[in-house]
Amino acid sequence: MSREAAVAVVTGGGQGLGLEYARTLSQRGWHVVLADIAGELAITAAKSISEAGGVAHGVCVDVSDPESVAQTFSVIAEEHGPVVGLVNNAGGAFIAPSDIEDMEYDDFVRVMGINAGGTWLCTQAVVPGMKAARRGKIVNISSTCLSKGGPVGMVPYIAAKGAVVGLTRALARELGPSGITVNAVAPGYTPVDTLGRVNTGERAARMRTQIAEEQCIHRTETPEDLVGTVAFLMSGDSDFVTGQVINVDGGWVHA
Amino acid sequence: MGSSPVDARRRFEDKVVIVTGASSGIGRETARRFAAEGAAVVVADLDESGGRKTLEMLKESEGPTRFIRTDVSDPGSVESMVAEAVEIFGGLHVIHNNAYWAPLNRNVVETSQEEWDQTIAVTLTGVFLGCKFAIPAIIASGGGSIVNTGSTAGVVVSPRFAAYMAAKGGVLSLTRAVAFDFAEQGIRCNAICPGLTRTPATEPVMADEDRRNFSLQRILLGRMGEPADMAAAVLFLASEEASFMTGQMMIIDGGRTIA
Repeated sequence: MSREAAVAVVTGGGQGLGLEYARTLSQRGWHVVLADIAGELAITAAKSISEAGGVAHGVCVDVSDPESVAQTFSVIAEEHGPVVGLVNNAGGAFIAPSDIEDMEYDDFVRVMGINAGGTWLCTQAVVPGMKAARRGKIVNISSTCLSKGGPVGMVPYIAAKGAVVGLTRALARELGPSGITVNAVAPGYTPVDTLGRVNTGERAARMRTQIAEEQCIHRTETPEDLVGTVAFLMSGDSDFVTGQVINVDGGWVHA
Repeated sequence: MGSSPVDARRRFEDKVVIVTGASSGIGRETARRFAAEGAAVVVADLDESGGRKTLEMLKESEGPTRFIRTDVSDPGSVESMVAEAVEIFGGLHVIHNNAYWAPLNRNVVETSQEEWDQTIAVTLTGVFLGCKFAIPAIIASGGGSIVNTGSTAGVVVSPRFAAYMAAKGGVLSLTRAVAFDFAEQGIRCNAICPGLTRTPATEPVMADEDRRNFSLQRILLGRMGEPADMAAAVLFLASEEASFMTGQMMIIDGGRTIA
């Protein structure tokens, strides 16, 4: 199968980091499907990629909803062909930073459901097709805040990103014999304007300064800093890398 | 999934790259790929005849190359390797510290003092010296990237390979030290951690049935590592695509090691 026919789905692809991943993957020859809960954003974004010479489509999906995922991925496979690449990027913190006593259990469940549940559901949807093709590239998105256990006030998000690492390792083990690699990228603090954003205003400004100071490379991370690693993990260059978590954080986590 | 956009990459056009231990195996393959992507490549190794063979392979790329006979455990030899590279090619942007030496089948009791000293001298001190002398040259050239060859043996156990494990563990810590201390001067430093890779150096491991089984069982992707797998990661880490990664290790072993 030529590269031109290889379909990759990027969840949360209509905005923020997901859109930048989709753009780069398109430049590398993938046919990208931008799947986002904000369907209109996904369609507009896909159009901008197509206008730049790529092959891209946008669809609406709620990654935390089993029916939405099953339905959407079924349509994608029918309309565009087998999905052999998947970037499980949909996610975010969603709940304003607060202590555990001030949070609702429903908030915790919701954040887990989007970040970890979404990764689980979308992976489940693509695995049969990848097994039939005897190849597949899955990239999950964790976060370096997992290694730090902070910033304070983000317990559900950090828990969910930990779950993503567990999923990455277990899926790598389960799917390796079928020729499917599963890895995770752990970005550092990369402020973007998306639905999941919770750190704004003064708090965000403080985080920017403090984290940039703690990193080896003293500047705030941008989406452009991440696209190369996502593209690498989606390419033939990483065919022997699986089950790994790659920190892309300007050297914030020193291990 | 390779295809023309990727194979025609020239990420290292006008860059000067040194690869140590490039007379065979992983180093030979990274030297070949750097050359194919436009770099001026210095092949550094004690093994002159292997080094000349590597240069032959690099001829296809039509770029400038040089073999410099180097003992990475000797400060004078490493210092003059870097000085010669800078003199001939006008600067230095990347060094891949890849050379190593280690005796197989030695737990700590079985390891002689000489074997321990030699393992550390080539495998760990060799990386220290490569970094020490390359860093000022890379800074003078406007910044660049260091990639060290670590090993999964620096992260998890490899039976009766104690000195090697210690040296490779040290390489990973050194990688973090260099990354932290020199980030502000425009240097990134990362490591690859290969698992068992098909090279001349690992033929004794492959010939030893127990060792071979220990290493190959539990590889999720059902095959041994190849120099191509390691070289692809070295070039990625050395390139602008990894410009916000530093102090990291990348385990490349088909999923045998999860850490």
